[in-house]
Amino acid sequence: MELVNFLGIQLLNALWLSALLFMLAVGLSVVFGLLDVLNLAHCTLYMIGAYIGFTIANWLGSYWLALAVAPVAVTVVGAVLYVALLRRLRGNHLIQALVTFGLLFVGYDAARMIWGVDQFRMAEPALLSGSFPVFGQGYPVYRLFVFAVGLVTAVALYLGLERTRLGAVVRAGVDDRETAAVLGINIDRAFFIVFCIGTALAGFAGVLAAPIRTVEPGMDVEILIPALVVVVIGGPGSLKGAVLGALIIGTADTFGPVLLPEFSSFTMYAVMAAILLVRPQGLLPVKPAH
Amino acid sequence: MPARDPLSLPVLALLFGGVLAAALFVDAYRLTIVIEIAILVIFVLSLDFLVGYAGLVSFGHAGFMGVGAYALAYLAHFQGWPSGVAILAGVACGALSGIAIGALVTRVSGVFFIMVTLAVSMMFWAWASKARKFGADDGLGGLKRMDLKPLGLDLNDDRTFAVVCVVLAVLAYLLFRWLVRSPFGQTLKAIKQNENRARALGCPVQRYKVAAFAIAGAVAAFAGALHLQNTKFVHPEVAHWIRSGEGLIVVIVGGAGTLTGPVIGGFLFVLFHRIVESFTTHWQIWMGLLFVAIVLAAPDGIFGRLLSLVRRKAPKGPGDA
Amino acid sequence: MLEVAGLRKSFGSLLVTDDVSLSLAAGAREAVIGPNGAGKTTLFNLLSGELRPDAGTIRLAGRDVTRLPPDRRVTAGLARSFQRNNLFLGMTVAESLATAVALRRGESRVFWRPFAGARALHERAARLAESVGLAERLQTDVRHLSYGSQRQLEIALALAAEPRLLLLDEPTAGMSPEETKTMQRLIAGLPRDLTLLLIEHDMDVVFEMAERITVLDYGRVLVQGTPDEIRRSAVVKQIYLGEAG
Repeated sequence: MELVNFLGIQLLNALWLSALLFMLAVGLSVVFGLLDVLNLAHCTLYMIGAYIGFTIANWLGSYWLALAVAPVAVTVVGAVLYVALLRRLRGNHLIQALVTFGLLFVGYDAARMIWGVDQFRMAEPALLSGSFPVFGQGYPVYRLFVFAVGLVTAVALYLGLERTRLGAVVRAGVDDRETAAVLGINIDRAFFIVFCIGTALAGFAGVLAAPIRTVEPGMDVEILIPALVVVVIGGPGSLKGAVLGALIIGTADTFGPVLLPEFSSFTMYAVMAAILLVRPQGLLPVKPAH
Repeated sequence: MPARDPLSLPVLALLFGGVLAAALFVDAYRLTIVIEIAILVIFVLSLDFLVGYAGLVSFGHAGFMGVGAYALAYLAHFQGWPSGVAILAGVACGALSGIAIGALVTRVSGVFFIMVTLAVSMMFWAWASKARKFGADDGLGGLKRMDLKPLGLDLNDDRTFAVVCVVLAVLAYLLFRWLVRSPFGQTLKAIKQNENRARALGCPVQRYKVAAFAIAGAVAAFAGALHLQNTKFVHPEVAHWIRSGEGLIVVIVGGAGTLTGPVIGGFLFVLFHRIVESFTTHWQIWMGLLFVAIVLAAPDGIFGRLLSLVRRKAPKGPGDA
Repeated sequence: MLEVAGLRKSFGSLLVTDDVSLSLAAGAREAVIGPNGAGKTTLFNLLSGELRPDAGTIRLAGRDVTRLPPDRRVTAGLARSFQRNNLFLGMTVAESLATAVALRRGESRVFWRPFAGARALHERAARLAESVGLAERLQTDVRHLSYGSQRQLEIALALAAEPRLLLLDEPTAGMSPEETKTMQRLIAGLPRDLTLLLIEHDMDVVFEMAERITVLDYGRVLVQGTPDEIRRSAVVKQIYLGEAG
């Protein structure tokens, strides 16, 4: 019984972490798979979301306001980044990687300049501050909420992909103007919207994470690495791949340190290495390899 | 190597000569700068061998520094090996992990490669920051420098140590110059320029890439060991992505695919760091912005840009090879 | 020299190589023709190992190479040129060829001697350049070569591998009539014991060079025969030559 309870709790932990990873990885993955833009600074946007959310919640005392406003602010930052910089670099992965890598440094230091090096933790909303009796103990409702939000996001994105014309463009991985014109889509605008959605999700995830994970400079890279691993093992550009990858990494990263404390966050990388050895294109690649 | 390159010799003579002179004459604070430059130069030369010659843009090269440093700490501090032997063993570990990691990461290409190298190096960092034996994320101090007294060198004297480091940096430069000018180096360039064609000429591309990883890994591990010798302290930070990123920045800004570029880059980077640091604690934001600007404006780096300026001014004569 | 049996390859639901069989004797000179999208280049990619077939076997001089990666097939005696110039754009002609020669001779592993001083490599490279008419261009940067010269270098690189079987993928693609003539002379002048298989759109070149012709359409072998038989074949006229005329 003890063991079941223990494992059950870990499973719940794996779920909220997976949800968070999914919301980050899906943006990274689709923006790369469709727009051919590798944005290593994606998680910097997540960090900005967390900081802005924290600041709003601190000033105005409303978690919900933070959850609503911060993603918008982050999207504005992301949109500027896209228009001013990333759009021009489409197709050149190395330059993209280098430029966004440079932005990681900028983001890290900018956060230190504005908010200092202190660690913050945002208060949970009163509505979700309780705990829920499960597996012989109380489990924070907020974490279940994060998982639920992740689930809803995944379903919404899936429906968006299947039911909208924008989704058709993404699904087909359409990257030429002619095909897009047939679908009646302005491709530049479609790309811009997709990028903004990815960015908004990153900001959203930042606010969601703020009450669970510490808000501090460097929180971006801390989650960038697992998010990249999710993209790699799931297969870039794939929504289902992002879901599957997030679940695998969320689980590995939760159970690894518990079951093999000596190897701690090693498990995640071991899983990645194993998967890449068998399937170098990821588990669910969008375009089948030759 | 660029055939028409009248710049490398004077530039290198100036930089290495200047740093060596500095090692001999400057005060204690500036000596630390000299040592830092020398070690960084060794590290970025090995990274440039991967990035600029083999075309393998690794975002996790500092992982090898970690391997060298931790192997040295383990063998010398815990096993009581003489430091010199432990450093060599650390270099061997660097080469072996280069082979293992190379075999894994060269299975993927493009963005996968970038992501996987980043992830694999952070794997080492994650291990090191939890390794209680090595003080986890506090690091482990009290390590010793190599004893070269039989040779009449006291490495505990910072000036001697600085001179040795500069000499080693020059040797690292010569090593890579020798390698990139050999048929082996030429083959790596061919792979970088057109992997598909190299394969169609009978080149077992992956084996060459793994070999490049082994060499670069060994030299980076040496730089890591040297870093530990300098600080007498081992810390997970040595393998952190920030260090990998700084290395890549130095290589790109200096000029990847030339060996002179990274030497210039390493020199400027340390000076830039120290100077900006003396004005503000937020030096990374300036470095990041400057880097982004240079990548956008001169993707072939400072030295690449200089070279093309010189070449444009002096078009090659007939028979000039 | 080359025995291909029942070769099959599909991309998703699209069958691009459908049960193709070929047989070339040593020293044979044959051509593969067919309309655009007939699967000619895919066939070459299967032969050279850049693609893995779904079914079928490829034997080179009696040895099964179906599962060998491209570089091992080169060692086994198969080299190819590419339809689109596929060169080392950061090297000179001499450097590219000497690199190819080093690979052929197993000297590409040599790290202890300078490349520039490897006289044997550079002499061989110079002879190769001469054999394709690039002797004057040895020190020219590959990227500064004219298109036609780049096509010639393409062939010289393949020859550097000292193949027994040479696959030429549209050697005259995009060439002016003059350049085409030069290329034709170059191909005609290749050693007689070298087995040649070429893809070509220029029918004059095909009918002059090839002793036998294989016509592909939608990935299938439509007809195989001598140039005369192919000229007379009604099916070919309709599907392929008819399209051109």
